Amino acid sequence: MRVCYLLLCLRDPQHYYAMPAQDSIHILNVASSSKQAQRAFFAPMRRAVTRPGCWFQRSGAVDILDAVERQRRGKAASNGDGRTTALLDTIRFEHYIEAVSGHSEADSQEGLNLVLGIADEIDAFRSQAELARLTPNRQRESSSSAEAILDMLRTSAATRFPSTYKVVHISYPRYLGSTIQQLVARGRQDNEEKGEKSRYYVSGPLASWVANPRIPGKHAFAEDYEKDPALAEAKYECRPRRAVNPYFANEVAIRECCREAAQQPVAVDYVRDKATWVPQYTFAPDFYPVKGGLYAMHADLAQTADRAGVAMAHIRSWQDHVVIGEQENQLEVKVTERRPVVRVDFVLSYASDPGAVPPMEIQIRWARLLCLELRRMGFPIVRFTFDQWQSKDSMQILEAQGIETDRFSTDVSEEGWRTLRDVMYEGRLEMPLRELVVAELLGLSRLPNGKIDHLGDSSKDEADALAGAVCGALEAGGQEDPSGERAYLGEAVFYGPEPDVSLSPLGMVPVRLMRPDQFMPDMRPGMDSPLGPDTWSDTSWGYLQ
Amino acid sequence: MTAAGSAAAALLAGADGTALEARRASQDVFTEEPVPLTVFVQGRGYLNNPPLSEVQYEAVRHAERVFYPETFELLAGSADKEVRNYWSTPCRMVNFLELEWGLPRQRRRQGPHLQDDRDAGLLPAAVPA
Repeated sequence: MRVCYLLLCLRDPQHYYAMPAQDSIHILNVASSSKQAQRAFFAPMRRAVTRPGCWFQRSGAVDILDAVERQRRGKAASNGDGRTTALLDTIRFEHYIEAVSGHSEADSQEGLNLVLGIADEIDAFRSQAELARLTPNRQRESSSSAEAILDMLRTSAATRFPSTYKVVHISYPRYLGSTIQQLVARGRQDNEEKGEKSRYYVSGPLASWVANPRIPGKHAFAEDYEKDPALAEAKYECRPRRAVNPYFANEVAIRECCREAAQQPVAVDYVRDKATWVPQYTFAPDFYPVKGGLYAMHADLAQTADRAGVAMAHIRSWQDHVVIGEQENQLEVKVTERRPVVRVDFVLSYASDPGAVPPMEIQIRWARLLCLELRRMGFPIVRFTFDQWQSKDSMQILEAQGIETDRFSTDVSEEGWRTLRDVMYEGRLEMPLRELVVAELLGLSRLPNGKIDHLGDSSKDEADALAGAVCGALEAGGQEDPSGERAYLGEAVFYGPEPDVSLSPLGMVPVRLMRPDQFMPDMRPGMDSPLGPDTWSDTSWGYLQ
Repeated sequence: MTAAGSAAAALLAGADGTALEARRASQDVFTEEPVPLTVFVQGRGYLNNPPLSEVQYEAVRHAERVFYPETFELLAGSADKEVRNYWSTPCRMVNFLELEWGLPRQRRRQGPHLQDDRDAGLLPAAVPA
């Protein structure tokens, strides 16, 4: 309203800004929904400018054009001078100055001569990535994404009023790293770099009662804090958590699984190769295959193809857990359970770079090539899983190399997340510390539709890869040799997945499971005598016959 | 910048900056000189609202700078002391205002990305980490 007032103080606003005399000057407030636009912007503004005796009433005609009024006036009015605003609630002042109440559901808010644009509660807008995930077939909605709204406000204002335009982003943060937090961080960085010349004004994060003098304090929201402290902290204190209704809520348990690594086991960089890019890996000195381990990899290419996560894991050992069971006669018995301890060898992600020359796009074959390179290094990789995207070709190539492949997606079923959480919370997972993976796990939320997903612009590519690799390792089985010795290319289990024991002759261990230096084991399943061990005799043969 | 803005600026700069000429130039630009923000917010003839907090006041002061810088110099030479004092207070010219503020009041919407009030009940309560 203040800006409308200032413009109306000008003798000839269009002349002042060197605009054609018939052009409108717009002030646009964009809310996340039509109801929000009505409630937070249009209704209060309408009341203010129509209050008898106020300056706007004294200074000239004020024309309120809301849904009812538009319907009453019919098409004739709608096709007037404000084509773009014909379907939006608008307050028209003299000199073609218009305050427009926009929202994300509106078809288009392009083409306005914006001197001031406000994105109200910008964190309530869905990001492009979210829209792509939630409504992949509704491309139209891409114009209502947070990114599109921000871009529209900036371009509409900067092209019409290059030096004087104002774009305001206001919101409380919905989660860590949300849009408003990114905007504030960018503004602060610009302030630091350019000082007085910076074109950004940054305020916050500030609690409601600091920003608004009419709120006496935190106690005004006591009920909200009692009901849902996490949400209340985000809403009123701008202190969001990583996730709403987090799936991995126990950060301590996750961090307990991580070990500090001086160097990530596998780091990826990219080099030009003729007209394309290829990844180049750096392997840590202590990254080597351990005898006995059967390794599983998982690659997860994001739907937007801007990042892809890859991880590898294997079972390090089996732990014996004694649990108490109850017999039919109510007697307690000790039951020993074997549970695998999983070691995650590495988690990494490829990132695309559309700005590179030539543009760098992620190719799923990169993960396949990494797998084959690791095999050359001696890692007996016996299983490779992909998510649902673009993996058919790679799967066939790996199968031809004797590597079992499958599809595995955390988007289809919760199983991967549940398995990962169980293994982590029981302390049966070891992984190199990687903050991105930890942040992604902590950022996973159970959404209202039951899906486990990340919010907004955050990612889960590496977390997906981790869950896939851990599940793959559990499927692959095996365990590290207690000696911890390094495995080399050509050892027993190297040339393919673990053979199916059921297909071996009775009592024979599949040869490929034996190393050259091993003899036939004493204990051979299926070769036990029904009369007990060491009782093989002619008699027993006779008994069997 | 063209038109009244630049004419006024040229006049202001080229005529020894006398107050009289500045006022004349201001009259060329404005039908009435804009009152200070406090008057606009609290004045009975304007919005008749409660005062802004210091934080809100500073944000609005940066957001309202939609005139060319030369025009603010004209206003700083106003005959009205209140107007003169207000507009002569330095304020950095910015284009973007990033305001990370807590919600000003309770809203029915309970969580992120719920486009409609009907969805609010679907969102489960957040679990403290």
